[in-house]
Amino acid sequence: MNSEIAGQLNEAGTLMLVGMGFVFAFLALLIGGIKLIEITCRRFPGAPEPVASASGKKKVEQQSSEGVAPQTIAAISAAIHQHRQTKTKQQEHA
Amino acid sequence: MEKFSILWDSTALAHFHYQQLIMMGVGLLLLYLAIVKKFEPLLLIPIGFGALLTNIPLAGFSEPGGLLYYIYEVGIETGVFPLLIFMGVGAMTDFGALIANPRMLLLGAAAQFGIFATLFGAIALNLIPGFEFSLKDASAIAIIGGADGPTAIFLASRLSPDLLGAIAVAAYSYMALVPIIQPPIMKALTTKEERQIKMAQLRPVSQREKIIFPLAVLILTILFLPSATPLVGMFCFGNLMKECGVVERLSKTTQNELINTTTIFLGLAVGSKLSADKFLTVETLGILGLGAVAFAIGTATGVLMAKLMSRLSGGTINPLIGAAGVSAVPMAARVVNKVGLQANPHNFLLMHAMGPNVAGVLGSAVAAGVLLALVG
Repeated sequence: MNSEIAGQLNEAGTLMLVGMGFVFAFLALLIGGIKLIEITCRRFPGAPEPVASASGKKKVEQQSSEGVAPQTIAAISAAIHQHRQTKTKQQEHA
Repeated sequence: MEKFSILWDSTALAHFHYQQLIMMGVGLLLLYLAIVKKFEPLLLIPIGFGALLTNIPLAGFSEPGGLLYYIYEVGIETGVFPLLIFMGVGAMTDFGALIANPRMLLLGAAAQFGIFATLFGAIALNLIPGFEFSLKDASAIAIIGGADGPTAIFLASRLSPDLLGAIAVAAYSYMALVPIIQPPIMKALTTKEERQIKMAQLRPVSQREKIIFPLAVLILTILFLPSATPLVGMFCFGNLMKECGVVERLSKTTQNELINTTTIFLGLAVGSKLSADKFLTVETLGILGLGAVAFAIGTATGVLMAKLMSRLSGGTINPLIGAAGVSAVPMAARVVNKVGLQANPHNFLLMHAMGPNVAGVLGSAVAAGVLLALVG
């Protein structure tokens, strides 16, 4: 009986090593993949027109959001965040 | 008089078994936790109600011919419901934070150690008389450490359907308990200075990168881990619908109506597995215990990995964000943000924690694929 469990433990141990190894390898590969996508997107900044021409309405929206300064966006998102934070706190107290 | 005894015989009162009463109590407890304590109400309400229905004597909800029996057979036995939910989760997930800082994938990977350590722990429990977990059972229990409901239900339905009720309840309960389980572990493993580290603002990510990303993930999964393609494939499909911007109607349906409808039936079907003979066992206690251990270990290894990365990068990474690697989106990321704010009231880690958080979803799907390939 105990030798059976020992065998199972052995198997579980192997599974642990192989599994963790695989998960790490897979996600590390994905890091490379993301870097590759970033580089290709940067090298071929491709015309944004084709995407926009498909839906003209979209383009306007996108442009308007791009027109906002990054500092403003940062400030707004920080404010929203703080607001949400206080809201969740209130909920927790409730 | 004879008629009276026939009438009495047709009431539930004459047929109640004390175990059914206990299980109805469990159902009511789940309803209480959902309604009063607001623990994952979207799931615990259908699950709790399903538990009530399935334990009604004479009604036969979970026997062939009964409603819950068919819902279970159609949705969970086949694996369809968890996969539809996963598609919805994909359609609600923004990978921007991860694409901007892909190293965060390592944190998502490290936190999956909780799964594999629990697998070992579940087998070790066999040393105690009364526990007899097979390797399949142990794998299904271990995936609780992935902190991902649909993944846990999918894997349990494939590997160990008898334990599904307990596993699903444990997974969702601990996800609700993330704000209680995680902070002490996070604080114990980091110093105050480390918790105060501010991280550089993330670069903006173009729409094209966001569109290519799910396709790249899918191609990698196809090449290296086909057994994970049901989960990862549906997830990427949902995400592509969200990011491509040309099928807004489909994306909206996936994020709202479809996932809500599926959640109702998934919950009821899981509840139907909360019958006395399957739930009132020592194994359930073991599963609840192991689930908590899995969460704790996953959090700890995530934080330790982040600590290592912080050291190697010269202190530009706040080790707290490692805790978000256990998935449980977005709860874990919020917890990280909260603990970070306690150390430094001007340090907002939420966006930085979203990276490891969504990486954890991918990580647990990959881990589930590995378990399916090796054990299933």
